[in-house]
Amino acid sequence: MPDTPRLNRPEHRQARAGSALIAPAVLLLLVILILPVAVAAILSFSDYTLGRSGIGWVGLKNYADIFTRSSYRKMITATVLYVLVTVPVSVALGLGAALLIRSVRIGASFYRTVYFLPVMASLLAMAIVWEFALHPSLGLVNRTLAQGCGTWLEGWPWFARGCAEGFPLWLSDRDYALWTLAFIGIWQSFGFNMVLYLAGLTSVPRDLYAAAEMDGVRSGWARFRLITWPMLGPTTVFVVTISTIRSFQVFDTVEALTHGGPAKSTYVMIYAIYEKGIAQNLVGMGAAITVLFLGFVMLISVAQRRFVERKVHYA
Amino acid sequence: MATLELKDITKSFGDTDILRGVSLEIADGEFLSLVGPSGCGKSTLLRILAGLESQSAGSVHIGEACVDGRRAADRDLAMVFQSYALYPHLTVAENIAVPLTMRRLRRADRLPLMGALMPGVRRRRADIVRTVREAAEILDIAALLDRKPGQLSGGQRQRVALGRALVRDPAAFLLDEPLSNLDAKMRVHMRAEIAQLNRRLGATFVYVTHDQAEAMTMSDRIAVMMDGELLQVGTPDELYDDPADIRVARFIGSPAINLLPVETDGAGVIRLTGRATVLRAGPVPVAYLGIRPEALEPCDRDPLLSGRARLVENLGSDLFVQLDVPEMPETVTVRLPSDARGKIAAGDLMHLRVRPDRVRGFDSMGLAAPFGAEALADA
Repeated sequence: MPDTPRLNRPEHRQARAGSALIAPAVLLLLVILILPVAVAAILSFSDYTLGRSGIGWVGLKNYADIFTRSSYRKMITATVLYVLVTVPVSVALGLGAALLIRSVRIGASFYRTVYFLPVMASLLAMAIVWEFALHPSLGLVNRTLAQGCGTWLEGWPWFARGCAEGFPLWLSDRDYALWTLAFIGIWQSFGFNMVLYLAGLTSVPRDLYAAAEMDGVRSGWARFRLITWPMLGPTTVFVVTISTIRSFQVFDTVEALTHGGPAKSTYVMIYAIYEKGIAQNLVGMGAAITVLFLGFVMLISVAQRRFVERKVHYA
Repeated sequence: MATLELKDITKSFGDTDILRGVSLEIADGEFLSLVGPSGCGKSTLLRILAGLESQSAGSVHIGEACVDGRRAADRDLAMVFQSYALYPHLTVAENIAVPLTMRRLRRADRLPLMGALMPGVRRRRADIVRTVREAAEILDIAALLDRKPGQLSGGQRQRVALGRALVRDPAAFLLDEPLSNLDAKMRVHMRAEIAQLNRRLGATFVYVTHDQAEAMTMSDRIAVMMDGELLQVGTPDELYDDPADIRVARFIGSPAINLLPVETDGAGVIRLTGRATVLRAGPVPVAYLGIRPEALEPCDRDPLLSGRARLVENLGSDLFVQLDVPEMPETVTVRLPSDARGKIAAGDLMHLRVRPDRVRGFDSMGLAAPFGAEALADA
C-alpha cells in the first residue's frame, strides 16, 4: 500500500471541506444568537445608559438590587404567581377542550376555530376589548354582575359586598389586577394548548382503546387513566414548557391595561425590562433582569429535558 | 369455554356492504380460521363478534346467550390485535394484569395509595400477581415481566399480547392477524405454538388471517370469506380436496391450483383444447378443470397435456415446473418429487396425465360441477 501523506487522505480532505462549509453557519449562529446574550450578560454588570460615552462597571450591584429592593421582589412575586396560575389552568382547559372536541361527531371544526380565535387575534387589540368590558362603571362585566343584586346571589358574601360597595375595579385594584391579567392570559392561550393536545390525541393508537374495552375497562375515566393520559405524556411536557415560557413572557396586556400597577402588583419581568432598559434608559439594570429571565427559562428547559422527558417516552 | 354463533350478520357503511349475511357456528374448543384476501370483511366480522363494532342486522350468540347490544367489556372474550396493542407505559407484568385488575378490583380498590387500605385488596392483588406469573410461565416470558413493551422483540410482544388474553380464562379467544408483523421464521414458530395453546387450554379460538398456510396448518375448520360472504366452511382437507367454489380453489394451496378452461359438448364429453378427454360432465356443463400441481404426473403415452418447461424451480424437497401448454392462457404448474432433480431442464417437452379422481370441475359461474358416473368408472 503506497504511503499517502497523512493530511492528504480523502477523509482529511473531506473534513477540511466540511469545516469550511459549516463555517458561515457557525459564524452567523455566534453573531446572531450567542453574541446578544453575551452582550446583555456583560452590560448587566454596568450602569450603562444609551447615548452616554463610557461605561461604568458596578459589579453585582444590579443583581443585588433585584434581590433586595422591594419593587424587584414584587416583580418576581408577580411573575411567578402569574405563571403558577396561568400554566396549570390553561393546560387543563386545553386538554379538556381537546377531549371534548374529539368526542363530538359534528361541529368539531367549528369549536376548534372558535377556541383558536383568541390565539390568532393580536393580544394588544383584544386588550382594548377587555379594558372596555372590565371598566368599573361602564363595563359589561360589572353591569352584568349588578343585575344579580337583589337575587339569591346576594347570599354569597362577596357578591353582597359588591352590591353594597360597588363591584371590584378589576384592573386598578391591587387585589384583583394580577388575577384579571391571568384570566386574560388563560383565555388567550388555552386554544393554543388545545390544538397541541388535538395533535397529540391523533397519535394515540385506536387499537389501545379497543384492547382496553376487551380488557374490561368500562368507564371513560378508567380509559383516560390507563391510556389517554400516559400516551399524552410527551405532549403534556411540551405544552407545559411552551405555556410556562409564554407566561413568563407576558407583556402586552400589562402594557395595555395596567402598566405594572397598581402598586407594582402586575410588574412582571418583561414589563420591568421594558420599563428599565427602554423607557428609563437604564440599560444595565434592564440587562440584569434579562439575564435573570433567561436563567428562569433555561432552568425550565433543562428541568424538562432532565427529569420529565425521560419518563414519558416509552419506545 | 363456549360455543359462538353468528346469525345472518350484515354490515354496511353507507352504500357499501362489508358483510352480506354471514352465518357461522363455532363449536366449543374449536380452532376456526377466518381466511380471505384483504378487504373481504373478515376483520370486521371478528370485531362484530367481539362487540367492538355493531352489526347492521343479524345476531351474535355466545354460549346460550344472545349478546347483541352487550358491550365488548361484558362479552367475556379476549382479543389479540395485529398491532399487539400493548400499553407502552406499563411493564409486561402490568400489561398482563390489566384484565384482572379491571375485573377483580372495584374502582375504589384501584386508587393509588387509598386502594391499598381497602379490605381484601392486598390478598386480591397477590392473587393477581400469582395468576400473571402462571400465564407468563405458560408462554415462557416470566423473565421479561419487568420490561416495557418497547424493549421487547416482535415475537416477545406477541407472547405478552397472548398472555394478556389468556390470563383471565375467557369464553373464547379472538385473534386478528396476530402473526403478520413477525418475520417468516418466527411466524412458523408461533403458529405451531398458538395451535398447541388451543389444544392445551381447550378453549375456542377464532383466528383471522389472510395467509392460507396459517389457516391450513393451525385450524380444525376454515371459513373462507370473499367480498363479504362466506364461500365455504370446512376442514383443511375438505377445502383443499373439494373446494365448493373456484375462488376457494384458487385461494387455498400454494403453489396455486391449475385451472384449465374446457368445453363440454352436447354428449357431455369434456374437451380440453378441442380434444376429447375421458372425463364426462354430470348434469351441469363443466367450464374449468381444477388440478392440483401434485396431481399431475409425467407419462409416455395418452397424455392429458403436453408442454415445454419454461421454468424449473428446485426447492430441494420438491421440484416445481412451469409448463407452456399450447392454447392454454396460463402456464401449468407441476410438482415433481425430489428424485426428478436434474432430470428435467427448461425447454424440455413434458407429457402429463392425471388420475380422474384428483380432478375437480367447475361450471361457468365458478361453482363446483361434479363429473358424471362414467368418468369415475373409467378411472
